[in-house]
Amino acid sequence: MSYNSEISRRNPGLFIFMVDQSRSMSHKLGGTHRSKAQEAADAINRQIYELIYRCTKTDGVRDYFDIGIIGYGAIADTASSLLKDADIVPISKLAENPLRMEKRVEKVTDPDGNEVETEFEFPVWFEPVANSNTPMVKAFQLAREWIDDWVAEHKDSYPPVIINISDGAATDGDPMKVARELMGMSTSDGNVLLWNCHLSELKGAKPLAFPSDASALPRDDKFALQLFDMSSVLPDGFLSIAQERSLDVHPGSRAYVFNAGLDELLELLDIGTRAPSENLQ
Amino acid sequence: MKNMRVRSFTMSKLGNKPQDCEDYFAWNASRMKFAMADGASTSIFSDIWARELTRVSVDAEESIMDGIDSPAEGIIRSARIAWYKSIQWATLPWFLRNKAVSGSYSTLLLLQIAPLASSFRYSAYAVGDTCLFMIRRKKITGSFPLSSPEQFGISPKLVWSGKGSPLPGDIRVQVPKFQSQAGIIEPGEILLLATDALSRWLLETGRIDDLLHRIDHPHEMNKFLAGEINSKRMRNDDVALATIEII
Repeated sequence: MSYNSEISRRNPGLFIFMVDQSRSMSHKLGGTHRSKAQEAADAINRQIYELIYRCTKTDGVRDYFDIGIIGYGAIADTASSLLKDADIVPISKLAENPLRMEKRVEKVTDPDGNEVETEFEFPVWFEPVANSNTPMVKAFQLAREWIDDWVAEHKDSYPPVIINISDGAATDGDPMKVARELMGMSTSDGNVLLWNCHLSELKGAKPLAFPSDASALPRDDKFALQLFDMSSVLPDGFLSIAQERSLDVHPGSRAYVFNAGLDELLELLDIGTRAPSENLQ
Repeated sequence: MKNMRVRSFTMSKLGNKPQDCEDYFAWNASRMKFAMADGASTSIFSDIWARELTRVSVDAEESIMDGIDSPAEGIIRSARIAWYKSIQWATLPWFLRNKAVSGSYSTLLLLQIAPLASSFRYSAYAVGDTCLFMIRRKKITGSFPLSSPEQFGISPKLVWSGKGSPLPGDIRVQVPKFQSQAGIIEPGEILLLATDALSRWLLETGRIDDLLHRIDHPHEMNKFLAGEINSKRMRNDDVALATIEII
């Protein structure tokens, strides 16, 4: 059985978030008042916060996960780590070294129903950028290098999960070959999982989440089909979580959302990180 | 207490340090009270919460022989105040502070015993899946509150500390619904308390003797339970075990 490895400090998991920083990411995300770059950065920062929350125990943040973040397109034809002076880091290092902290306000309700307004600190690890072209091939190549090294040291770990967030086709060639190479890499517990989230700026665009059949995709959109082909089939654990949330998924559903708005982006990030978290020991 | 022998054992989940154990047992000989709690690993400072719940429960003056309704609120409120005071809220790093505000959770099993002419009467109360077993001639004759392995789920009922800072320490607490059971225990019988992983294993295997003859030998018990965990017969979890033997 695959995707069953316990995740522990001796046997951590790996998440790599890949975010498109091309110029078109400055356009508003469909149905929101903020840019795709802002929403994507916010969503990934929140997801890292959520992962740290799950790894926090009384003695601090336990290194159940390693994390990497790749940005591509901030500089033309370039993909690089968005973490200062680091590629893949243990999650406790992220907790200790955010880029900056934001003060946010929340209301805490006491047992008598009175609300107490309180400030809390929310960490930010990277900022939104929308600047140049879409060197997605280079980003996948960088992820392949990182995973090659990581898998060599974690042969029996839960397989790495890559979550790619983009709004357009690669401008540096066909990413299919390197994406297939990535999905062919493995630990003893299964193959690397590649998730793709395509963001839409069209208001009212109909999102298509976790399709199991390419015929459901728009026929004239080669990019949509390409992303489908380079997305992993959802393993059972992820399928169960998606089903619990009443999503229309079936055996064969792909780790892929086309024309995603903010809700679909958040849902994809949450489901993509939830199943490995349930293997925490 | 010359006609009673109490023994206990705790063990951390394999891979964790001994001090990471979030399962606690406490007893008070003069009040003849016993308490076991399993701090939930999904919340933080659950070890402190479980420790304070057991300590406060056995030290509370009020009897629970005839019911838990009256003393329950006082026990949970005192445990909350002690839990709250044990945490240095002002100096917590952001990741501990943001999580600790949600409070801590734990199961709780309470037991009190009172002597009769030639036997003992016991009253037990439970929130969650920490179990009490009745044992006669090395056989399990009953268990409470769960009686079959299938009843162990992933979300047992828990006692909540209430929210942490910025709320103050001394606030009204939620009193959960306790399940209860009472009975008689005769000389030669044993009451055994165990947290969930070991309770489930006991209900599945019935191998009570493997525990009874190792409980005075922690090293042997550690080795035995590690073997059961590594062979997948028992879930890898913290363990607390206590036996009360009527002589």
